[in-house]
Amino acid sequence: MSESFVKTDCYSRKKTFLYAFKQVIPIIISYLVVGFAFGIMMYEADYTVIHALLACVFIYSGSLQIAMVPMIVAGTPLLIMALSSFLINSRYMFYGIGFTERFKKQGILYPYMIFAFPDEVYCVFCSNAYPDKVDPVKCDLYSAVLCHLSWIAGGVLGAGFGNIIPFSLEGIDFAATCLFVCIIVNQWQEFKSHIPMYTGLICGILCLILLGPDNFILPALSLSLIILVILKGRTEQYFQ
Amino acid sequence: MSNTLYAFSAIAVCSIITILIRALPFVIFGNKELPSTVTYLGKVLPGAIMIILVIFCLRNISFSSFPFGLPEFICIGICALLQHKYKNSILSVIISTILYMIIIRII
Repeated sequence: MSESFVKTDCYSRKKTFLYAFKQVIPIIISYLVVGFAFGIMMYEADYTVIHALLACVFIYSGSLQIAMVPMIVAGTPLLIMALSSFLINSRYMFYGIGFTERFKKQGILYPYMIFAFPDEVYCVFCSNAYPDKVDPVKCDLYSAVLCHLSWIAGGVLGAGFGNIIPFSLEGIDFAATCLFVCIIVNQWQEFKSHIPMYTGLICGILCLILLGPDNFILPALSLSLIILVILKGRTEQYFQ
Repeated sequence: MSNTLYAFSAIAVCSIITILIRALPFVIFGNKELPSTVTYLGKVLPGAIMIILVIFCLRNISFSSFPFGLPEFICIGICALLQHKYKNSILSVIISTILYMIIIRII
């Protein structure tokens, strides 16, 4: 206990914040813009800033929020909304595995970390090499809050002002894909075994071909999980 | 008014379902000693999930019509090369995203 106290003492709050900020800059850019796109959809469907704010604060899921707008406009029954939400976001079920101990260190903010955990944040948290003087617990928290705030800011601005940007931002959401690619490249060099990535690649492509773009992700994740459990004996030695 | 109430309810439903999904693994595994298979999965799943997320981002590409996903694949290739060489995520993401935005506008 005293050891951890001494350790906490030598962390630099400024360094921690700057490192967290640097880590999530690509997410901040992407969230501001995609959040803004969501806000514009709400604006054009005649919903208020309050609606967009609530959605960004309490749903905090790009794919669901963007799918949700036309459904609300069409007056889709709430039960159908619930089912669609589950289908669209079921991938999040897999994200918490492996993060329980890490998030518990947040103490009272443990539930917030569980909630504020979309795709991009998950990926950044998967590559966890903290430099000296950076407090890992605070760094996780700062990263999560910065991403959430930029998502909220984007949504509120879009819903408040509509499309005020005089040029097209089409394609800027590709930044998220690039961020995933960067993290994969980092992890590729770090890991001794590439079995998990090949498993994801094969299951992902297979399910996409067999089930089509709208239904592939949950089966692909489930299949990967099953295959990785089967391969435990072969793979575990590389991940101690 | 009823329309407003409906919109708020719809947002609440989406929010609750999303929160429940996110909480599920923490509810199942959060309060006890982790079985070794779960600890193992925590280490190996990220690799598989990240690859599947990239496929998820590219899921709507049409390979049967022009441009056959070429802008995406070219820019992903450049992004991976930049990241491999310079290890600077911000640089790799910004360059390859801008390049992508240019390519989809000129073809």
